[in-house]
Amino acid sequence: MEEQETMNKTLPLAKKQKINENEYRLVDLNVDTISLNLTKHCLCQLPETCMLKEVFRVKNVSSWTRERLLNFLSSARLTCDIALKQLSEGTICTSVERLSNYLIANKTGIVNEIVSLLTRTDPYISYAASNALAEIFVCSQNKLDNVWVVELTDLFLRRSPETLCPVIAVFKRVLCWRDAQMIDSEKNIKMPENCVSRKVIFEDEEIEMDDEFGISLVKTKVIEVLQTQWQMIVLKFIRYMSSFDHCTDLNNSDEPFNHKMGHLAIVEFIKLWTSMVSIKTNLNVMNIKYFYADLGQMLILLRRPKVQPVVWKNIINLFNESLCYTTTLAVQGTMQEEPCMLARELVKVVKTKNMLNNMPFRKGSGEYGGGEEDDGDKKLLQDTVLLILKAVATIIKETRNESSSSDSSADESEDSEEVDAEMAIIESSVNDVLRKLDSCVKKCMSYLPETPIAQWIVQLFSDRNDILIESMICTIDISLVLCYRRNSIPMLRHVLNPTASLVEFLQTLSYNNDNVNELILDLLLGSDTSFLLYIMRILKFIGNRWSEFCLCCDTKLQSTMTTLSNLQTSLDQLIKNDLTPYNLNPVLRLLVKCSTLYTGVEVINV
Amino acid sequence: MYAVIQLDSENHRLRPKRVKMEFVCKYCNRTFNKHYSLLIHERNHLPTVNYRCEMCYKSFKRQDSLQQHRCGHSR
Repeated sequence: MEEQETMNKTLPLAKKQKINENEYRLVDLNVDTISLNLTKHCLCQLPETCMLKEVFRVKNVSSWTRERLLNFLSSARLTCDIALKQLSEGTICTSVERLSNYLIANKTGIVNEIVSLLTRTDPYISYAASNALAEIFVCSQNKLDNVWVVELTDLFLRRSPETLCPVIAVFKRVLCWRDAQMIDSEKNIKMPENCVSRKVIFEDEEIEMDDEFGISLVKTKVIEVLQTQWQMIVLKFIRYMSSFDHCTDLNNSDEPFNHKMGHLAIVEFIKLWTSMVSIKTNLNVMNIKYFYADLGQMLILLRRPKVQPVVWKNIINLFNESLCYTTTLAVQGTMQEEPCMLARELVKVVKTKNMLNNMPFRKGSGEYGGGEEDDGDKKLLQDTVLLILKAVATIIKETRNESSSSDSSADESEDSEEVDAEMAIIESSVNDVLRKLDSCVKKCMSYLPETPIAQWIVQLFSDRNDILIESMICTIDISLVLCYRRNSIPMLRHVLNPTASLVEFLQTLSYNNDNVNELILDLLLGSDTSFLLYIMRILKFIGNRWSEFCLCCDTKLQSTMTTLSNLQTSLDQLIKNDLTPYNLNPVLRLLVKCSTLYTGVEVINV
Repeated sequence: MYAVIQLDSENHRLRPKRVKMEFVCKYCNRTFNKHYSLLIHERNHLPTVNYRCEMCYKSFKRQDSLQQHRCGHSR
């Protein structure tokens, strides 16, 4: 109660005003008329009784009835939604634009009131308020008031976690906003012929494409306010999560509803964090640096034996997004410090703290979640395996980068000995981690004991293309550095052999498909996987280690090379007809090199 | 995107050495030292592109598949 009172004091709408039934009737009429006309995407033909200026110029909405409030919130959301869609299409109805501007102008403090509605116990109202607020934030673009974001962040920090789902949802919707979601969701909007509309003029053509209509400005403002309180917010949630340690069965707890809502808030909080560090959110790297700082605290949770499976899974997802290996680190000259630090911590936890043993693969207690009465959570296992492979690849790339930058120093021989010694330590540590991973996967899945990692990753990830390709890139990068150095552990070369992965991958692709070439082209031209990086890496590997590749392919050499040759022909045609979405000449050149090497082999055989 | 030219420390003159370039991602400001590395990275920022047939709204992952599909309409 006290908290609610303090909240009211901070809001400009503390003055309680009673409006009479006639005024309520006017509000209802306005909202209904607006909602009805918005479905036609034009507000030019409104009846005289409906004044655009008055629709959102209301006060004390928190005292309204539930139905009236829900109507009001959904019409606010719809107004911003239509305005954003029309802006993205390039033509906007001037009346819709005016109405959205009146709302954003916040003359009566209506936006602040909507912020306060987020904590209402009625889930319908808090949900509608959350959706409306996110749209208002995005629609306001450069007019976004910092005060709204500060109020929202304060709620995040002060309110109990059980009530925070709608607050978290606003942050998530705004930060994950992409124009694509509008374009995909609806085909071209048709406005009535008599609509008074205007063309949206962008001062700079490039800004129109890249700046997502000023949405990145909104995202930056939100992230800047949030980062000042983030450490405290993390601390609050970690404490709250610890209170769940002794309560594994949510249904039997004393306060089942509160616990379920709290549990949901924990999951949503981790998902929000995941979106913030995700490359897909398109946030500036300097802005998200701060959100990497507390990841180590989440790592501590994975060392506990009784963490809820869904929380475990979401923490693993958070780490997977933070370790942006195939999207960024693998192709960067100088890697950022933060993900490298996380990778080092992760490998340490797997090696010394038995993190894998705590993985709740099956329901129950004990190693990997107990007995073998169910099939287990394959997705959880896949995400965990990918995370460990990414962490190992990151550490190795970091060490190799450091050694190559120190190569230019004067005393090269001494340095290279030092680097070699360091690499030997890393190799032994990696070997240890990979052995644990191999044993874990073979206990969870029924793979043959002699199946090497390079082969089982394709079997394990075969139902998820994106992470299958990520894991294959990781094994190539690990093996190229570790397996081809002086005094390397011979076993590692067999375990991580990239050729074994490629052969298994092509075989898996051909199981249900007659035309493997079409599938490979889809992967290469689409942007939903890192296949471009994989094909570059594997073709370079084949070109540089041709004889080893031939030896490993054995009877599969002909079919593998036929696939690569078909790909070469298709790419050649596509490039000639200008049908590729980006420059694919480097891939074509590598394919030509492999093809030349193969022709040499064929000539010798003849 | 900018270039840094390395100077010879002893002779203080330009060395015929490879010019070090830095390529900056326009979405997140991360830096890369090869143009193709930047291309590989930037593709992750883009939403998945689908090529849609304007006659039946069927969508394709590739432009050549759409062209092939269009031939079916004109028959």
